[in-house]
Amino acid sequence: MPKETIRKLGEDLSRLLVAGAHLASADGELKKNKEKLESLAKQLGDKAPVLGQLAKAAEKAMSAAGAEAAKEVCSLTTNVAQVRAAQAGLASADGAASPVPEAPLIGTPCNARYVYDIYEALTTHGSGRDEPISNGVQTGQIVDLRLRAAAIAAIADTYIGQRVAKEVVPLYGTTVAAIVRGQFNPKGGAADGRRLTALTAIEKTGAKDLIVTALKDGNAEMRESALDAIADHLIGVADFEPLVLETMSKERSGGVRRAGVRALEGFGSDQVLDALISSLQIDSCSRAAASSLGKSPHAKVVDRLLELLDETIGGDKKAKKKKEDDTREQARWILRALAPHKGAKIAAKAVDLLDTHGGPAAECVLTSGDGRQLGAAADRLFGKDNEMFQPAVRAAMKLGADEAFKRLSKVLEAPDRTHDAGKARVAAVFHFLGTDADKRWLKVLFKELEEPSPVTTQAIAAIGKIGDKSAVKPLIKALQAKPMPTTPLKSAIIQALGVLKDPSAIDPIFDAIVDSKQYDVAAAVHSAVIALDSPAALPRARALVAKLEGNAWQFWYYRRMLEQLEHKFGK
Amino acid sequence: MPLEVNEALVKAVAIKEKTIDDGRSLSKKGAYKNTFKTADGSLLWCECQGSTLYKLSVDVAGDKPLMRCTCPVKPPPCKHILGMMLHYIANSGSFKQAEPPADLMEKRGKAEVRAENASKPKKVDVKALEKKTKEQRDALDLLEKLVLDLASGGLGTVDDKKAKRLHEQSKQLTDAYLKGAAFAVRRLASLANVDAAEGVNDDERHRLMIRQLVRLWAIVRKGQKMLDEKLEEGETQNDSDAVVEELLGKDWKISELKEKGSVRANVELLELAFERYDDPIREERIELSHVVELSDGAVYADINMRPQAALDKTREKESFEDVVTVPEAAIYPGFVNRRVRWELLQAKPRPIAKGDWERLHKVALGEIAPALAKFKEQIKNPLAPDEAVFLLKVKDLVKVQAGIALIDEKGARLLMQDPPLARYKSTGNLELAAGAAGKGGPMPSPCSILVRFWLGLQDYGVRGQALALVVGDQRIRLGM
Repeated sequence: MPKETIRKLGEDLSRLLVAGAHLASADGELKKNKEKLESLAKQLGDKAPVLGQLAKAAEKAMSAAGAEAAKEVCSLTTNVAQVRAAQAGLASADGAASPVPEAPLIGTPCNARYVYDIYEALTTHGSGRDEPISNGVQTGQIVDLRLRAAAIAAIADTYIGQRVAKEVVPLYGTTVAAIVRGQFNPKGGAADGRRLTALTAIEKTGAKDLIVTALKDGNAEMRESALDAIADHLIGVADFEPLVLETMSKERSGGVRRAGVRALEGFGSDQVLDALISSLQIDSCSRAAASSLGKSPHAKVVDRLLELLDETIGGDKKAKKKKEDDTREQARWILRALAPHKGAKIAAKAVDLLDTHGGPAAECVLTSGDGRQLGAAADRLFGKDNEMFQPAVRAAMKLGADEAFKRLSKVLEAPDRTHDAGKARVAAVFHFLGTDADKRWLKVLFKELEEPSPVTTQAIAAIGKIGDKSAVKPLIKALQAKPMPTTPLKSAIIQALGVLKDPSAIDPIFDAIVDSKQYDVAAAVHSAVIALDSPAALPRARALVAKLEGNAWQFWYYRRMLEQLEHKFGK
Repeated sequence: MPLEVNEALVKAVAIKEKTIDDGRSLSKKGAYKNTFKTADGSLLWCECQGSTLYKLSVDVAGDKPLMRCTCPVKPPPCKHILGMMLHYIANSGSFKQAEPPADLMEKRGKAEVRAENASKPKKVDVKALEKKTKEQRDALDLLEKLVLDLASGGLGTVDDKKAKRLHEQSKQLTDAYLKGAAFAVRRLASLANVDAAEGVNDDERHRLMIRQLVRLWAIVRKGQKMLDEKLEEGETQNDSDAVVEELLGKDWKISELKEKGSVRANVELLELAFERYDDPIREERIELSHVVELSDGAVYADINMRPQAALDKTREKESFEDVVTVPEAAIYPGFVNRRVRWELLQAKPRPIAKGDWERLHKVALGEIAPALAKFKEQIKNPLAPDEAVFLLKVKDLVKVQAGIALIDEKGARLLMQDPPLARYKSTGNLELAAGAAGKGGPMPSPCSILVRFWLGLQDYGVRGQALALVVGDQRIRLGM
């Protein structure tokens, strides 16, 4: 009873302080409280002297006026607060108790220096927020329990929302799904589209209900997000085929159709094939349709495409009425769609189109096993059409090791090798040199190292890709040459040494840093040192960064390199 | 014994890392000339070619380095000074031994006298102190009038306009050396503008304002009493007066705390939670480490307050990943969570060992009841903070109708909730962390929790906000 009376007194005093203490004298409730306190004080006497004190103080408050009333009310309120504090108990947590539901572990790996940077990037506005988020994703520190709620809220951010939805929120997994679901509105705008993206990445087929609702009830933006989500995370899942087809049959929006075409990839029904073939002929969807048709499992896809190709470039009157460029472009898309499929029919058709339809035709010829056809494609390597170079190289490689080496090594002797087309040709050849490359290439490439030319940087990159450790010493020798190699060459050599992953390159790489402001060299050193993945680099990196002069942003690569090394090898 | 000039000293005295970088650059460029040192290495001096030729010196004979440079950048250390120290670290041999210039020795002498005088009991300028006390006393009368006006008019009438006027009036309190009181007035004024968007309704807002008004009234009453006694009898050593003094705005010096005997020797502190926030009332950034003393479980607050206007000129406080050992820690007057501070370079970090976690769990309170008793004792004082942080053992964490509850060894339950106007909401994080640790069952042992007790606005029920959970040797930081 006393506790309740004191509580009531506290409430009434609060009311008076909000309304104005001058009202105390006329306050009926205060009077009732006072009388109750007096009565209790009489009952309990010395056992509870505070009751009598409070009653007297209440009397004073009621009989005072003006500033005195305010004084008495303030004093009484203070006293009541003290009594209530002394009486305070634990808030009720009664009732049946159950275990806290199991949850996946999310740690708190982010140290205080970075957690606030990332938190601010997620919760404030303006530009420049990408970097802390991007760093957080790369280092994994963004997956921190303390940042979870902020990451979920950041989906709604127009500047970073897309990155957060695709790269950040899915990292939290199922721990965030229920919350994001609760926020998702299928009739909403871009932010809800991003929520759907995140949920599909997390739940996969579990998000079907949301996708269905989005496709049925959402606006064009939402439908596009739903279809992109299917394309990114649920490709070929049978349940979604009829949904996508139905949406596309009614769709007018170019963006939604494009996303729908992406989402149809991997389905093999007649309806899907028809939809993709007709989308191939719509400008905004051609690229997506060609990609999806290239992966189509339908038994008749090749025949249909060849038929369409004939119609497009053959004697069809309608086709001839189209402008020549449009016809050629259309045919090229069809060829691109054909290229991933195998079949002699494809190569036979395409070989006659090498000169008129370029790269896509050459890609189709690659499906052939016929030496003559492959040779025809390989011959185009020394033409002027850059688009032909890569397929020509691949065609040459299919002619056997000796034939390939004989044909392709000639690129370094071509008279135009230092000009644009020649450099592109060299790049196309080197693109395909990898760890399985013919070792005869090394001799050719080392020659480039000894007699630098405009394609030497490409040659150095190729040496790295071939991956033969015998290249380490010559590369180091080239790096240490006097006079010093030019900046582009130095950068290329350093990068190649990184690819070769031989720790003996660490010191020569750091020794080669003469001017720490050379941006290209810095980028190469960063890439190489991280690729070398050796703790031996840490002391050199520390010493380097300790000596840097100038603004932090100028030396972003070196500082970033040190940060990554410390993260991996530091204490 | 002089301080050692090493990288740790450079880092400890530098305000910004960039200044260290700039200093290093000067060293590399060969900007330092005529570099000298004394035989014992306690005094370094040289010239540095900047936009003009600067003369600088670093004296490490005392407890703190004395750094001087003729460049216009203040306060020290500037890049020239840091660069010289780095130059010395890398090239000590290039510093010739020499007899120090007379002016530097004179300055050292003066510094020694100053240090000696600082350690002596201060001769008080009685008149000046009396004048200051009188100004404070008069300002408290002004504060009293302000509080009574608010009470008479009603807090419900405090609108934007009134709030602005209160803010203006608080400046008079600041001018009269009552900074703490000024902040309290501003806090009340700021509550007038809090709205539903911040998660409090009108009733809650008024209750918060009433709490603040009660605090202001207590400042008036106790402040008047203390200052009247001061004017009559002079300074007191009374601890509760020290609390009032601090609330009125006194800034304690470490030396003053040591003089009072308010120190602890050889403390080992383990940080469990770190909070950083911008206080618009104080116009400061607050960086706060909640640290636990491993020998007895006392929870201290290691706080750094930096003016917003000078964030780039003041050193940011780091969060401690390691255990920090402090030979002599000064403890501020206060309540449950006292502020702790130590001299420059005194703290020695060491990696956390497994045994440290065992010690932590051992010193955690096994029952909620003693923590509740301490909390109630604190909040009975209207001048005390209305929150307190404790380290408790976790017998279990469970879901109840009202949310999540901590259960102690005796089965008592503490409801875990975020307070109204919480800077950061951590209860959701607690649920996830508990779910991960318990895997849908009872919490594993040992398990301890750092929890901030707070009092419900309406029901005066005590609740807890989780700041950190420690399961075995895993520290999970829940707040920020």
